[in-house]
Amino acid sequence: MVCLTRADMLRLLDYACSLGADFAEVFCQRQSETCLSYESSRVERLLAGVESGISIRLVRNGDTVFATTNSSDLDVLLDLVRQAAGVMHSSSGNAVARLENSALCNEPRDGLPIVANLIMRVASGIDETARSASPRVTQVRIVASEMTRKIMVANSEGTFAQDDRHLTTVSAMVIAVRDQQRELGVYSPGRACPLDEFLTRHPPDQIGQSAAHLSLIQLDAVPAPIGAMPVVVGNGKGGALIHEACVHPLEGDFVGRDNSVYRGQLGEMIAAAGVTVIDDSVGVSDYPGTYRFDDEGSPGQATTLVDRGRLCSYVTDRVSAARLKHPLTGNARRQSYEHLPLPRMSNTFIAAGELDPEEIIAATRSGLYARQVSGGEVNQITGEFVFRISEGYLIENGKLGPPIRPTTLVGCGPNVLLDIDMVGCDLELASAQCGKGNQLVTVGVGQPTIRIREMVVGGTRA
Amino acid sequence: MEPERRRELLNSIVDHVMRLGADEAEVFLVRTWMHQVRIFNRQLEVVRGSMTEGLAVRANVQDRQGHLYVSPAGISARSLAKAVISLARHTVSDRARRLPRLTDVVHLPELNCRARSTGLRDKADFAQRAEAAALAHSPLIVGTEDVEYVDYDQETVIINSHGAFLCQDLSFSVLGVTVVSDEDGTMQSGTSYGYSPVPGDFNPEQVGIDAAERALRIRGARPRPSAQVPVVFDPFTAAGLIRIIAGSFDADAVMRGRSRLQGRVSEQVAGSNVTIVDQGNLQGAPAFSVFDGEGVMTGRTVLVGTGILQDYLRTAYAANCDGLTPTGNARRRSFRALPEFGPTNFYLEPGQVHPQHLYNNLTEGLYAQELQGLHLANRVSGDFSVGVTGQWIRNGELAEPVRGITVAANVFDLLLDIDQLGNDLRFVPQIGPNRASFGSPSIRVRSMVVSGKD
Repeated sequence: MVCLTRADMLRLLDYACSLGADFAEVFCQRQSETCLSYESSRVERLLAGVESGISIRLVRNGDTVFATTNSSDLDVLLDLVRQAAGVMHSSSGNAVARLENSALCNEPRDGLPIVANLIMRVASGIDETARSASPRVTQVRIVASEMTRKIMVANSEGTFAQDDRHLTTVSAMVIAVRDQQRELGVYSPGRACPLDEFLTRHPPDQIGQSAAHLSLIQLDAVPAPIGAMPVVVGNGKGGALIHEACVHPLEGDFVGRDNSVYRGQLGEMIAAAGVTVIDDSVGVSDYPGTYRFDDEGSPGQATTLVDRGRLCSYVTDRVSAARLKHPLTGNARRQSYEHLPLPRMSNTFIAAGELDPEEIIAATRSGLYARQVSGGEVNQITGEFVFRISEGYLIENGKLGPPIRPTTLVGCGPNVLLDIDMVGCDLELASAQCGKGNQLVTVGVGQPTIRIREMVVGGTRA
Repeated sequence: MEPERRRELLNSIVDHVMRLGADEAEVFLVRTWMHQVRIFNRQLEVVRGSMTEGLAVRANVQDRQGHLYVSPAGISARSLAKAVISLARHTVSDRARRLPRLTDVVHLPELNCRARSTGLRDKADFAQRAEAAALAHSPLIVGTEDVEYVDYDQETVIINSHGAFLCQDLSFSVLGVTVVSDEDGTMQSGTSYGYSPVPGDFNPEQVGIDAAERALRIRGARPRPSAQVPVVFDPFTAAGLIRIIAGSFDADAVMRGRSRLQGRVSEQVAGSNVTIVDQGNLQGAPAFSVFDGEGVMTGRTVLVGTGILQDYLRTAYAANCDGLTPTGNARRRSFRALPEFGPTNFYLEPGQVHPQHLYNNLTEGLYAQELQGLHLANRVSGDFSVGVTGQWIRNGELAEPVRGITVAANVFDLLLDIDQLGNDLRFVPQIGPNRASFGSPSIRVRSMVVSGKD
């Protein structure tokens, strides 16, 4: 049980339908978290918390009424359904949502998290490794959090699903100094598993070394060039490229409003023939977009979005699947019970090709190699996107040249996808934060090393 | 629940914490009502109402601080006290973690809690008027992407073991409109905002028209070759740039060597035409608040005055470290979060001239209307590299629309290179409570490298 019994949830759903909803859903969540902030080689701040909440969603004629509350009192919830139904019927006039419940006076309950000593040892391990990477490392800050979330979702079409989720994220920020130069390197892996399993994938010294490396490399970096040129994008977090350039505009809500640059293009070639793009919430062990059920209770799945260049699926939730008359792909995610589900990515990646990554660099006469990427942004209406290189190198005559200062590449999704002319065999995934509609979720991104014929580089070297 | 009963319950949590051995204790209770209306194609696509209640407890035990939150708030005072004391014991002892010495009893009257009493139909109507005005503005406007009205009321109570009791109730509303224009099948978008503390106290039609104008101006935008030219940033884009370095004014970051402004008070850090202010009690501004996340009264801090660095922004922690007074810049993003440094209404003061004067004497230049990738800038060094959509300036006029280009520079260098500021200060409103708001007028930067495609 998460806040409510199944019977209570069904009662709320029946009531909603009796009041005229075409579709009703109850979503319950209980969550606990421990978060630590470690700086100057000591535990500076330690925070823990528990939180629970419920949301009720009613849909009628394609329009949604959504109400959320912390209360798990059935009478309060029935009243909330009644108010939501009142809003749903436009003839109800000028409804004022009256949500006045407070749990302060409720019967007290127990069940608070205990401190994990492991999380403190991890932080000190990262700190030691980062500092010993170089005497130029002057500051290390680590923020580590472990979160456990239980969800229960039921709807008026008979769906009932429960899922237990974990999310561990560790963020290491290192500052390296030389004379007046002060450079920041950030490495922040995340996984959908408890902390002890997370550490088998990301041992503390790997995290410390990676963050230190990203700061130290900038001390010797040359200005990035400007203009358009070939770009080789490294594996792993380089997958931020496909996340922005291709898959955000494939999300069903944008397509449904006719506001995607890929609208109406199912069946068309939208990428080079060597490019296959997959979104997978079940088959890529514990990357952060992993779940058994999405946040509407639909089973997670692996969906081929682009098959050898041809667009074959959008990314949908219930509302967009119905609007587009498109299969449901199990991609409804919400930041928490307080948020509406939206079509979101789970773990999204370009499938492995055949080429040796070293061949790809050797085949590039001059250009850029983006080994590490820190994130991006897209306008899904125009397809214009950017992504930021946090570790990059010039390519000169097929060989890696000096490191370049972090810079941003800009391109237009449809052009860039068709311009991917080499795909490596070294597929890897990484974690990333994805913001959309004022909601942040953690996703997996990935790819093998790829080459793009041309992108504009936002450097400073004229 | 009556305020008195609630006050008793919160006080009992403080008492329990103190009885278990704390030297100081604080309870923070927040209740937020949020309403959201989303319009698409004249239909009410989504209506959302939420009420969230959260309670956070801080305890200092021999200068070791623990923090615990629960939501909803119904957990026994004894359990809360035990848990938070146990958390405190694991942190490092640090005198600067002492709570601000607040002893006031401040119960502010309901300033403008209209959000809860304004009907949903009125809110929907407001958003619909914006959409209708946008769509009617030109046949080249083919649709909207995001027409959303959000308002909230937030009631905050802080009680501590020094006898302070503070309570405030604030409202805020914001309307965001994104509109889509079409040129031969290629779409462009334009976004604008309206906001007010009293829900719905601004002109929604004007927001719709402004967004439509922005979408029309860049219709048919194309990439262009690289160049080195003056660049004019409109208020939204300039505010985005200022935001990158706001953290450099955090006194704590300064102390820890994470700020380029360390040791530079009384030095020239910007052009003499640049004044940067942070003001939490600025009436009508999006991030208005009477006290901050620790109960310290907000105020106005001139950070940079005519180019000279004057001061930093201090939470109670930073103030305790350097023996100065806190500036009211401790923000709790939500009841879950620790109070941490946060700007409030952080802005570049406007100049005297109409924004047109920033480009009407230029032979060539770039007018930036939208930037992509701002959130990826380096907040310690101030380096940024962003995609730009806007218009090329030619012989004093805004000429052909451009996209697919970048500008890259450093914000600290840019502050020394602003040769004109417009009189058009605008804030970018945040969507949701407890967030900073950044503002700027249009600015012109003398010369920047624009990277493009030949």
